[in-house]
Amino acid sequence: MNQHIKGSLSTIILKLLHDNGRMYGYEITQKVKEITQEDIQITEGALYPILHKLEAEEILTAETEKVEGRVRKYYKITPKGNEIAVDRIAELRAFAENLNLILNPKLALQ
Amino acid sequence: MKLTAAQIEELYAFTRKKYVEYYDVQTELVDHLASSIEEKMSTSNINFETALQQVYTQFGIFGFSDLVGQKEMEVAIKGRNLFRKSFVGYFKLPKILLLLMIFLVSYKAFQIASLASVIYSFYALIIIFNIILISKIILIKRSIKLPLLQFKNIYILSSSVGSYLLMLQVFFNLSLSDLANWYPIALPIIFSFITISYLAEIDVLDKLSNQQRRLYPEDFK
Repeated sequence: MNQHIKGSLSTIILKLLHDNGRMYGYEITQKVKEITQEDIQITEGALYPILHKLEAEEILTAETEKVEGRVRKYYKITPKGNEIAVDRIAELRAFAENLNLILNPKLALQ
Repeated sequence: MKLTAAQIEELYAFTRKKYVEYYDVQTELVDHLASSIEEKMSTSNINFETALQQVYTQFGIFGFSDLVGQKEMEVAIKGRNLFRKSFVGYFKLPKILLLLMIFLVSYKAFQIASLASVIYSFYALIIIFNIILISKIILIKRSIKLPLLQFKNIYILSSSVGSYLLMLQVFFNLSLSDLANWYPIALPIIFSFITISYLAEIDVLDKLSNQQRRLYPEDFK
């Protein structure tokens, strides 16, 4: 499963942030696990570099808050990033639909 | 089951032991480790240390080093972009007025003062800029260490102003007085560019510092 996730991980993260507003790293890994019923597990080693890259590109912005005695870093999509996020999500959705047609040729005939 | 303040401190020490020296990266990792450990401790009957080891192995064989390396790269790119933006800002209104003023002052200086005194005053100005930068760097907090990484490169590059001028003289076989006589606007242009590079650097350092201050206020108390 993981080799298929790699290329779309940043879009998956954008989609989650788009739907949920702000989220922190651990929350993102848990959310993906929960939605996919543990089929997809995002590793920490892959997640944070992507979050930091999107932050450096100003697609995401960060804010921190003291929660339970420790500092938590939340990410959210910037106004500039919103347009990019919507585009990438639409692209991934179209890709998934096409993939579905290839994997299930019968669907295409109906 | 919530972790205690002492355990959170232990996690900070753990990240430092694993060569994460930047406070902002440490802080993000500590929160992740803590959340994951709390979850593990509440679902299975294991102690803090075992949970920490389990969580750490999830980061893969390279542990935190990949993450730190990647973060350093991103920060360097961001720093360069900020510098470029700030530098280019001096060619647009309103800052272009400042650039024009700097140019006119140095142009006028070459006309009314001796070449040596203008050059020496310029070097004095550069020393002042360096003192400003160094004093800002000395006051740097743990969480701004990472943004500082990219800054050092720009700093080294532009503090070799003297060697640029020297190169110019060697390559073109020109003395500064030839340059000043033949190309009366060449030196004022070079001086103006160097000055705004310094101003842009100070600007970037302030921006990065403010951003880290917003994210990690406890580090600036």
